[in-house]
Amino acid sequence: MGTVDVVKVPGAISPFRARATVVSRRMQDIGLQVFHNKTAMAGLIILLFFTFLAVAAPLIAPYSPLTAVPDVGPLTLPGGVHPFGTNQFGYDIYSQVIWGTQISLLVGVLAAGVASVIGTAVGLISGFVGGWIDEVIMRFNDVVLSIPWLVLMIVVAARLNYLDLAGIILVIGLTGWSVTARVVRSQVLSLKERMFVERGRMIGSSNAHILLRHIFPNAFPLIFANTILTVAISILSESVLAFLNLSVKSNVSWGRIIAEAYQHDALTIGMAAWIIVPGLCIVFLVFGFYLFGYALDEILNPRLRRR
Amino acid sequence: MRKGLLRELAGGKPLWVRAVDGVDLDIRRGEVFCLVGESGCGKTSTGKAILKLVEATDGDILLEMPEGEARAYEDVRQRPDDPEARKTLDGLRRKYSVTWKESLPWTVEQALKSAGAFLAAVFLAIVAPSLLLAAVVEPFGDPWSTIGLCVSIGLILGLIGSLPPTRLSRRTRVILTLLALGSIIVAPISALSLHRALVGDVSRFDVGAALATPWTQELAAMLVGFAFGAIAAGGSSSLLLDWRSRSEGMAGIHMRSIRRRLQLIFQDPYESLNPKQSVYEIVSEPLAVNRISTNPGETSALVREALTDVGLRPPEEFLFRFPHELSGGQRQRVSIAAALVLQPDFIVADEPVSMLDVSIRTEILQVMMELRTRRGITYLFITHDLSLAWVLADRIAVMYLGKIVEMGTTEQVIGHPMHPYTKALISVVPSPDPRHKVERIILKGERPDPSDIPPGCRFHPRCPFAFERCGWTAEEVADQLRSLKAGGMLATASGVDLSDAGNVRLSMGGGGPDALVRELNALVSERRETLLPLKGIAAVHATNGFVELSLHASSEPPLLEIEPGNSVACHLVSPPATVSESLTA
Repeated sequence: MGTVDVVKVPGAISPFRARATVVSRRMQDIGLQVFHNKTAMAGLIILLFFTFLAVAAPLIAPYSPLTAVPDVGPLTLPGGVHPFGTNQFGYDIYSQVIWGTQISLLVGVLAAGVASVIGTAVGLISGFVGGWIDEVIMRFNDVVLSIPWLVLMIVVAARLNYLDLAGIILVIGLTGWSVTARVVRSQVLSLKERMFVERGRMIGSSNAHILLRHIFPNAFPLIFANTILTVAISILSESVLAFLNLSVKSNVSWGRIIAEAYQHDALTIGMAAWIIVPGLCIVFLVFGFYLFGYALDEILNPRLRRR
Repeated sequence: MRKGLLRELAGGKPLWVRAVDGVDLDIRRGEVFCLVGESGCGKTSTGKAILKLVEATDGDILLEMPEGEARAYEDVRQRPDDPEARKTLDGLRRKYSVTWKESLPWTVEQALKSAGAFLAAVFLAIVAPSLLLAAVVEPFGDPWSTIGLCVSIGLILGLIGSLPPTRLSRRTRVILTLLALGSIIVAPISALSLHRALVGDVSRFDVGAALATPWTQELAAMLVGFAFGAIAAGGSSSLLLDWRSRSEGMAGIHMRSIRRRLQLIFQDPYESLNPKQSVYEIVSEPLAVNRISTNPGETSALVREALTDVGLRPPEEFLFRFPHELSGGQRQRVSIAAALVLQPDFIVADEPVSMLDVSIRTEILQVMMELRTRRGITYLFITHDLSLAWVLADRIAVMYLGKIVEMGTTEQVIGHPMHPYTKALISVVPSPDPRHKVERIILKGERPDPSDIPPGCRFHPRCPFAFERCGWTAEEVADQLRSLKAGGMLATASGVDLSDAGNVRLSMGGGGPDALVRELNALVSERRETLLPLKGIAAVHATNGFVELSLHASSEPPLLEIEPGNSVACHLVSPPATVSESLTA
């Protein structure tokens, strides 16, 4: 164009590099905010602690969770090398609690992932397309929401009778996406009226492009924070299912430990730790996710405050 | 560029706002055309309707129309009933209009033909493959035959369904896809039933057994075939329909293909940039979307050039900033750069500087005007600021409540305003010279609600020069008389109300009909210059027990060309013949 002061830098910017630069800057920004937020840090420390337990379980746990310990019999009182005692089969409860972290975390995160993916897809389409499709999806969603969700999940799990790990994740995930879908839809409804969406249309973008490049990135913080809160709910769900003996049979989980303790009257035979420790673990892990989730919600969606 | 537009905007459920009503603009290549009006008068809606960001209910947006054909278009548009003219009009629209869509009326014959074609397609799609498959020794012996069957059903449906005499429509594709899905369920069942009937191992047409066989044995193949069959039907019909609409000259202009050439600069730089995108992504997105440049090197060169053009120098410094890290002026520059990167021919600038600091306005405007001289861009500049229009525009159109009231060159509109509204707008533009005194025309009242547009001339309730024919309604006259009565006038009347026929009716006071008529006449002739609604009273006559007023007939003033290139919609400047005629009436 003949202007003199054009800086001639031949360096080509690939779309990937452009995106990566932006994302890394954004992540640094958020990381800094999390670091300075006391609630978020408290939640994060709890989460890191349990993640460490789950990952390092084979190293930390002194015994295998599903083999009887050689030195003492079943239902040993707490003390010595068995700080929480042994259960009715002679398994070390302390080791069981540590191993149980794995299942609780795994099921919680993956089930929340399933619920979020489905909920996000349904919410995006419903909110963006609108019209009768939106109407049909949302009425269906209303029906699902009006059924008590815990009952729905229990009935589905009980009906399917035997569930492996993938099964339990799917049951929790597939029964838990309604709230996410609603939240995402409402966000999409407000986002699609924003001016930059009109701009997208003006430059000739297709609907799919607008949905994926303009609306989804702007709804993502909300989805992400929501997913973290869903993880907490999923962990609780797994515990409830395990307590009702509907969860995975081949692995130990906190809910199952509590169920066994309950069946053997742990409190009356002087083994309070059998029931209290896994209970506290559930409470703390869920509490950690809630702390982190709410703090993250505040950081990522400063204008939304409390929903 | 020319457009005639009649559009409506939904405002609440039972209420329709006609935000823009019958606006005709013709913008010549390379000029700056200003659309001026107060906020809420429909300027922005007009701008967006031109770019099809809102759908106009009616009207054409004609692109790059030569002078001669534009005149022909205007000519035939006046005669909508003449079949010959309609044909010419359709031809012109097909060639130049962005909004035009072929609309064929349904006739019984056509409906029957279409239904017949669809039935034939379904029949052929189901029966032909079924018969073929039934003859094979082991139908559904391998997955490939199942997939092949499904795809061929889809293709046959797509081909036959979209051939004449079916109508061309966007829904055809969807219908055919759905039909294909249905056929793919039916065809294997009937094929199997036929096969068994031929082989003779089961009684004829045992649907239950046939249903069980393909679904259990070949479920995966069926599912894959389902997808492929539907794609085949949709794809082949889509290709065929496209080809037909092109070869039969029914295609018109695709909006997506000309998006690149028509761009909009948004009013609000804070809202119109996606907060999650960097400057580089914002400016390069149009290139990627329109597939103008897919090569990273070329893209970044174009982005840098666009940023440099709008004065963001050096561009490297801005590439990876987010909108919230830019000042308002820089944001608006980014917004302009994103519009410019496509090298458009025509830009609608919707109040591009109204949200900016006064200190930055000049810079942005200079950038825009510089680009105009360099690239020959045509602007439609939408603004409420008449002084800005005066500086920038080649031609100006003044809008009031969704209608153009005056249009002409800057010299004509600003130098010799004809419409009272234009005069009022010009008189209130502040002048930097305190010695320079102009008589300000301050408009009374509020802008009327666009869902309830005044009859006659839209501007008459606020117009300082309104007279008899401007459209005074019975309510307006009655209100005026009531306020006079409240002020102690009209002692001989006891009340003012509206009769069942909608006329103004005064009930008698003490003095009898003659006294009231006399007082009214005196009042009207005395006060009519200050209380304009009184001008609407044509005659006063006494009926049984009441005095009724008849009002002047009114009409909406048309936009008339009073001198070449200058049009005004006002009864004050109507041709003298009609004025005198109605004054005597």
